[in-house]
Amino acid sequence: MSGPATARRASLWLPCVAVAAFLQTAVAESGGSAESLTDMPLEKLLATEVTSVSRQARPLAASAAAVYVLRQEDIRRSGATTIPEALRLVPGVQVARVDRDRWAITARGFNDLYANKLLVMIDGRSVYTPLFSGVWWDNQDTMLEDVERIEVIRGPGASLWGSNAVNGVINIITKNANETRGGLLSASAGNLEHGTVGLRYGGHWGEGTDWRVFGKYFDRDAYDNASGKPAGDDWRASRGGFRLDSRLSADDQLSLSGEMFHSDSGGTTENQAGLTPPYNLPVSGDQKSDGYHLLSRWKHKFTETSDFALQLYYDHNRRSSASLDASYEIDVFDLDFQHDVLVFDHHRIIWGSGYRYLSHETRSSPTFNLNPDEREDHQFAAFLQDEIALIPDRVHLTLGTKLEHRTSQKLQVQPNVRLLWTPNRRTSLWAAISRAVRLPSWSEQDSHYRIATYPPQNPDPRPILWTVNGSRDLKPEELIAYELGYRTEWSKRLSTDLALFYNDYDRLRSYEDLPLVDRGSYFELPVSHANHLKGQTYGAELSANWQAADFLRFRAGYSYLKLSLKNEPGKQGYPENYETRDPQQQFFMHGSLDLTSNTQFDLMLRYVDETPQLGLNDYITLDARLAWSPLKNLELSLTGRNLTDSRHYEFNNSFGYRPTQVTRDFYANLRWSF
Amino acid sequence: MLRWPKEGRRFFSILCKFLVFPVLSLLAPLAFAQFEAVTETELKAAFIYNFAKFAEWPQKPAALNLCVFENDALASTLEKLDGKTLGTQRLQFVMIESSERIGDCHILFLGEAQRENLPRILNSLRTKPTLTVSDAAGFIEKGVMIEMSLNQAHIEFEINAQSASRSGLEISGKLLRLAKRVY
Repeated sequence: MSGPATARRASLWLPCVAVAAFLQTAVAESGGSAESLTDMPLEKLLATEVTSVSRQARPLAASAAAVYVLRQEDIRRSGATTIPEALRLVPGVQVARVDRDRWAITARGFNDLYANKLLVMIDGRSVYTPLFSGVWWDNQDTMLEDVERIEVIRGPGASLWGSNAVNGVINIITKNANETRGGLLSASAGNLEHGTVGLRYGGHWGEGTDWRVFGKYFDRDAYDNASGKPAGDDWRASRGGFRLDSRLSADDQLSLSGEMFHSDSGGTTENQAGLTPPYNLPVSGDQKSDGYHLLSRWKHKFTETSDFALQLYYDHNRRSSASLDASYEIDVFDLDFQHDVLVFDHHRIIWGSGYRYLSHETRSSPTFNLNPDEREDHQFAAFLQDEIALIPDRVHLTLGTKLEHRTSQKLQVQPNVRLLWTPNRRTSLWAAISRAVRLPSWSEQDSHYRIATYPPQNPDPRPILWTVNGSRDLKPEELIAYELGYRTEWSKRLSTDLALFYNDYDRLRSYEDLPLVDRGSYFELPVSHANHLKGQTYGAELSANWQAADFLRFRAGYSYLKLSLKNEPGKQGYPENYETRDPQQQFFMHGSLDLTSNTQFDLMLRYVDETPQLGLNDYITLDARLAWSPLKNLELSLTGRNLTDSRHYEFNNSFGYRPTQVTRDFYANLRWSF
Repeated sequence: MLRWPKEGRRFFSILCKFLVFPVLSLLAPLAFAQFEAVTETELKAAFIYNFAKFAEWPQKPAALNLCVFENDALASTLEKLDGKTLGTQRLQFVMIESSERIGDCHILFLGEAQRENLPRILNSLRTKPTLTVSDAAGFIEKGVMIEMSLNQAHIEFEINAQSASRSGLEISGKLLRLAKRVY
């Protein structure tokens, strides 16, 4: 598409619409449906939803996207101890545990430890790192008992949420402080869970202000290496935080939250490439990371059909790696506002704008360096979305776009169009076409990393050093996604959700072999980041929710994925290396059984297809949890994980790190509210 | 797999241009259908009308005075209930400026704006059969009979049955059953 010219034109219109939306707010009249409401019986009134114009409070069944919501109860009953484990319960999300504290997580393909196509947020704070556009999952944690829900959108969410929301958006939402009054103690211990303890206490000041504070600590033992011995990837972390929610007035809400953490994980031995014998040195892969953030959000209601939110956060993150002998500090400052307004009763308009400051300071080493080792980026974004009720409660059309500009990148336009048809209350069909981009990360642009050394071969006495290098010429990856969805309630007890997608990617990131360089005392064999791949991925995701009886519920998800990649004309990007890196089929089932009024039993079954490129066989794994509440405020539970085999690999080596085997474990948990 | 022709890309540039379309439809309201918006205040008003249905006053007055302080946010919406019938009874909307004039109220709505005066108001109504309803957090603990609250886009209500029986009002069992909590 004609990027800049179109963008110019679109940017001309954006302010017009914004102003129009504001003017309309002043004259917008609410629909006169008071008449019919008073005629409703009380039961029906209790079931009536207040129309909300804001992005957060829309009922998800009415969204034209592949959305899935995981609730607190699902997380608790699954026995998950980390956010990534909870994500295993979301259909279409690929979760592979690399080792004790590292995960490879994606949706719709391209999974890797450094997977880079998801946007992940916690309470609206973006947590993917600009270093590699992926997520350090070991740093993403909170008091899991205080998570209200995890919303996952598979497919592009770029027009509203912005860049990196290429293959999906994960938003982890914690409870409002008014729902967490009082104390909660959660403690676990098991054969690999050496001890986890979490303590939260919440209270209120006067009428309108609620607060909570929490602290948690865990110590987790290592998984097994290839020979079945502990691999040394044990992991310890502590974290503390607070949240405060205040109703300043009937129309104003203020939310403040903050957390700080420290994480210390052992790693398996990794390879350090050098220029002198023994050339490839096995070193410890220990990593230390810490960080803190502060977030505030102010919501203001102008009228019943118009509200405004202003969000501000600061995030600091530090990490050091023993095997790279390097460390970095990253600071992110972000300011966003958003205005939701219902105009003329048939346009639901959301528009907003944001600024993000990103900076890093890196202590480089010969093994890994970033050049420059200090960098500041600025990112500006504006978005506009209009949802039009073509036929009320039947046909809704959504048009939206996002404009985004980051230092040293072209202005990116990410439009989408979505159509939702709900022929009746139980069925909805939707279709969407969207464009999304992923901007190059700092390491893809600036890094220099020594992977391995080939010892000298006679007759030349010089070693060959193999390196991977960033490139400033790297272009954004581009996606145009075509999606279809069908959601239906077959009965009060059974509902299904089907999503089909066809993704067309251009300029996918690949590696390019550069010619051998004579560096005097050694040769360098450089590999550079490039955009030599293109291609399509397509697939289907099906999920079902079946309440078989009042005491028995099944949730299941099946996903199919196929990648078909090829080289950009005249280039070589080795498409075959990527085509079979993802499992083609995945299946999970979570059965929840209430044995008695105070005893619960849950069973989680997962099947993951083989991944030939990584040399992994398919596997089936089973987790189970039994919980008993002798008192209303006390729950004791026993969880067993990976029950089917004593250990298996879920991921394999792709680049300089060594995965470990996910090992069978058992733990007991006590949860006491006071 | 089929390949999308270049027109697919072109479509996008056209789409960008056609962001003009929402702008035009903004400035000229076409004969589009409407979102059936249910606002919070309208829903609360409908609840209050229903509460009146399920309460019984000692002398069965023919006209039920529904009172609201003029500085309450719900005032203008409740005014629309004026003249609505409940079986043989009729609702009569009364706007009040000060707490001296609440003696004749059968139903009294107390919003956030009355927080400071609440103890005084409730004290003067202690033995009068006036159904007090609120949507402000914590009023129920102070003695207001019914408190509505918004939770996940739904309205819920709690009932302070002790206050109600003290004042001589009878609240039907059905209303008590549907309440989230009864004190």
